[in-house]
Amino acid sequence: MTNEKILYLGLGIFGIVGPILFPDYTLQIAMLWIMVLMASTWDITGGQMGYNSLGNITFFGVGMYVCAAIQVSMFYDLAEYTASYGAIKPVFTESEYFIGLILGIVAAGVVCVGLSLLLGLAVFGLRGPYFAIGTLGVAVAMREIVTTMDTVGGGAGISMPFLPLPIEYRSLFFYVLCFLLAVAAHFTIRWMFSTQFGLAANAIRDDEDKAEAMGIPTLRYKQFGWAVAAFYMGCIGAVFGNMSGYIEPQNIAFPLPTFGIFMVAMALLGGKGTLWGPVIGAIAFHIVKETTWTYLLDWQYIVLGLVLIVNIVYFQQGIMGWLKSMYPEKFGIVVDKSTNVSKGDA
Amino acid sequence: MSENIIEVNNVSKAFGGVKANVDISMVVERGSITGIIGPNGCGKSTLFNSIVGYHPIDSGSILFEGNEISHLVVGDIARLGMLRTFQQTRIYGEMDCVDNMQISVSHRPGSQATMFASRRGEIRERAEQLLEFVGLYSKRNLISGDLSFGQQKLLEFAMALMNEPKVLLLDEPTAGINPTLINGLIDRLRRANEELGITLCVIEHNMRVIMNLASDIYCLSNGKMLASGKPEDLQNDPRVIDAYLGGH
Amino acid sequence: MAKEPVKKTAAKAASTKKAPAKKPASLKKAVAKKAVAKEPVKKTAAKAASTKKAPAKKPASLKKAVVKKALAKAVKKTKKNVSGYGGGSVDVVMSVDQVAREAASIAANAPTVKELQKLANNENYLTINNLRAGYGKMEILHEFSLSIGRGQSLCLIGPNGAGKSTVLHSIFGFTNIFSGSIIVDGQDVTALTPSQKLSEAGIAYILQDKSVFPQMTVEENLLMGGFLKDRPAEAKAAAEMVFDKYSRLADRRDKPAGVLSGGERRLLEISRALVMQPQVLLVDEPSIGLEPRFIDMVFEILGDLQKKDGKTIIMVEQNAKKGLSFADIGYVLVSGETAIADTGTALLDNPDVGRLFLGG
Repeated sequence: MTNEKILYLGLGIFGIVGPILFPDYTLQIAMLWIMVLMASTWDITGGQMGYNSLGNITFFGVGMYVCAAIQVSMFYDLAEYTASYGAIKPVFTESEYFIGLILGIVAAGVVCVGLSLLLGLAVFGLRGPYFAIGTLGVAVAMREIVTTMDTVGGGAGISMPFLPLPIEYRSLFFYVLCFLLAVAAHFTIRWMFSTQFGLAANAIRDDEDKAEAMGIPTLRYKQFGWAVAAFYMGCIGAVFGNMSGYIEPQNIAFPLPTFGIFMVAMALLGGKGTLWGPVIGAIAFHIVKETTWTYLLDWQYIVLGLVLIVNIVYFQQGIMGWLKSMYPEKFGIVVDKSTNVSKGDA
Repeated sequence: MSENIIEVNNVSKAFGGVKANVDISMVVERGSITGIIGPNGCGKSTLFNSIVGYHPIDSGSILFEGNEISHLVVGDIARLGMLRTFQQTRIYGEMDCVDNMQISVSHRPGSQATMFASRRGEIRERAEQLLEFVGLYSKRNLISGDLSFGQQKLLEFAMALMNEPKVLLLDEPTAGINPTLINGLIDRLRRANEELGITLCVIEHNMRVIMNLASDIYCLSNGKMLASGKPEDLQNDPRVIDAYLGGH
Repeated sequence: MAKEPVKKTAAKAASTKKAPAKKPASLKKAVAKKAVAKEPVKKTAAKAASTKKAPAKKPASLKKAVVKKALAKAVKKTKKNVSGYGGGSVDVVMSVDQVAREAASIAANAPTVKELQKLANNENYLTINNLRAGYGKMEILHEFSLSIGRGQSLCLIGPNGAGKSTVLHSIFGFTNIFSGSIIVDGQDVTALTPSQKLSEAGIAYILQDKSVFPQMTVEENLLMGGFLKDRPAEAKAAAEMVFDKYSRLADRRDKPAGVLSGGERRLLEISRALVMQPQVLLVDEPSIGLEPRFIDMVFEILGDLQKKDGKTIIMVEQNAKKGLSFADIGYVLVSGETAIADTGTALLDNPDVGRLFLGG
């Protein structure tokens, strides 16, 4: 347990002090926290429950759009605004902006929860690879639907309101939002999995039919898990939209080939089905990504792809899984050393 | 005279062209231990699956405590208090034994097991007590998938007890278990029946087990009910000997 | 750690204290049940014994002892003829740990290699020498030795997880062998792959339950048994020989294997292994999942293969009584080591073996 306290202390200090020590990298560290949140929330249904979703990015994008729509439409006509292609340059007062932002983030979270419940009715009847493809399909569909909606700018997107703070505080402001959301998500997940919920989720992963036969209301647990993931994805999407300054469906709101896959890759790399696995995986992945971007730009995606392949073929248990097999006692896992019992039938 | 906790009335089920169950009727008395025997392919497992809601039936009715259940699904029937164990022992292989037990607590409306109940409280204590009952206390912190086959069977049984069912349907509980452990398992089944009041319904091939365990036995053959009665009667019934036991 | 034994004994004391109070009513029932569970020939004797005793108001423990004696007598007379899963009571209850402890003390006098060879009539057709083997890094068998003569049958019994299947797996090449050797007819086969074992060394492995290809016909299953033959025509010829031998299979040659009854499936599994004309048969739990009438049938087939065709048979059997009544030699395995080895009949008569491994 002391190891964990050290981790919390280290990450906490880094989180608070990082942007002060490395102001040029503030947004990059903010990205790190976004990745941590994405990987951790993916793992709720993915690693812990065995429902590998390829469509969590849906909530990222929907949250982004809901927030943007609210921020703009509270004080301007949204359709006019988007139709003008930037000709209307709104100026928000501080209170207008912040009220819009806060309401927008909350609404983003809530709408995504509702969306997850609705979609869940359709996709939670699917299992394994079918669930993955089903959720992927949902993400693609959502992206395309948004592209056709002229009210929110269609393919051209929405130009986000400008943050009415001195420019030197802009990065820090968004950094704080990202960090707080990542911390909130982490501790929500930590609490959830310390209760019976965690056991039910793992039971569903290990043998869902058995769980059903024992009377566990599996749908309820699946819905709740995905709703929590949707909430935080929606919130972070809202923040990210504001960070970017400009949102559009293909590359910012619903970036399926990048973030959509990254969140899975990070959880796998760190060790899915654990509390710290996605966190460590996100950090490792982000470091590799940023380093290759700086030094090996042409090779960046090749390197990331290789990391993924090596992970899946040779290293399926991920970093946490590997640590657990090397030092089981440190994780409270009990290994029976007394008898070498043959696991076969006789 | 105790009432019938399960009543199967003229149940038929066919899969494609194969008539798995034809007009089967049987009853299970509350608090009893009932056995179901018969050759492989006679429809025993299909009957079990029909009772627990694994699939709908074609015709007939199934009553549990007087209420019709043939239209309900597995989860609903489990929450009413009727559980089944599997022939191929099924447990949650990545979790340790105590966790397997804890999550097996009853999920009936009104039970303690709310979605976010603590993992450290009374539920855990009961789990450990039941592990003691089946003799797995010393293995309680091991990953259940690492246990031997016989130990996994005991764990599955303990998990069923944790759920406090009214009826437990056991599908060949002693298959692949060595004879001495069989005795231990039967002893615990009997105690679960006598001390905890759980009604048992057991499919078995091992006659030594069934004869020493069940008070009433039903023998199926070719999808139909062949004979029923007390163990001694069935063992000497020429139809049963012919279809199932084989001559001595 | 010290808490556990105290808990256990307290619980046990509580339960045994309860039991006698309930006994009188249920004991009569149990006595009657036990009497009925015997072979029909012995029924009258046992029934006479129990009905004589029942009306007299003897104390519970004495009643039980008297009935047990009658049972023991009955068992002794029919020791070689165990049908199906065997009869008997289920009263001997011991925990797995208890069995392990007592077995460990018996294993202190484990049989020497010389004694094992004597059981095999000093023929040593197939020997395993000081084998250490297991799966991955885990060692299941510790210095395991075995000796069997040509045309003999040997049955491995013991608690779950003792390593019985591991012995068969090791002979056939499915395990990691850390040290030791396996010699068949003078040839060292330890390092051969399973395919080589089947095609060159004449060793066939019959898996535990449900190993037919259900969508393929009976004939196709047999042809698959001859997959390693040089030419398909040879496999077809061998399959025809099997059909000649077992008309039951011939009648169903075009049916998908999945529709066969349990006994027929087992027959198919066994005869499929015969296609390669092996000398040694490794049979993993012949009676598992079978109904009583087919158990006897399967053992008849195996007996036929041993006595008429001279096959050497090594089997693992949880239905220990049946296995020991069939086999010439019996080994009792506990925790990867042989605790006791003797002839099948001697082990059946051994009261310790009965108590610890045969369920009474």
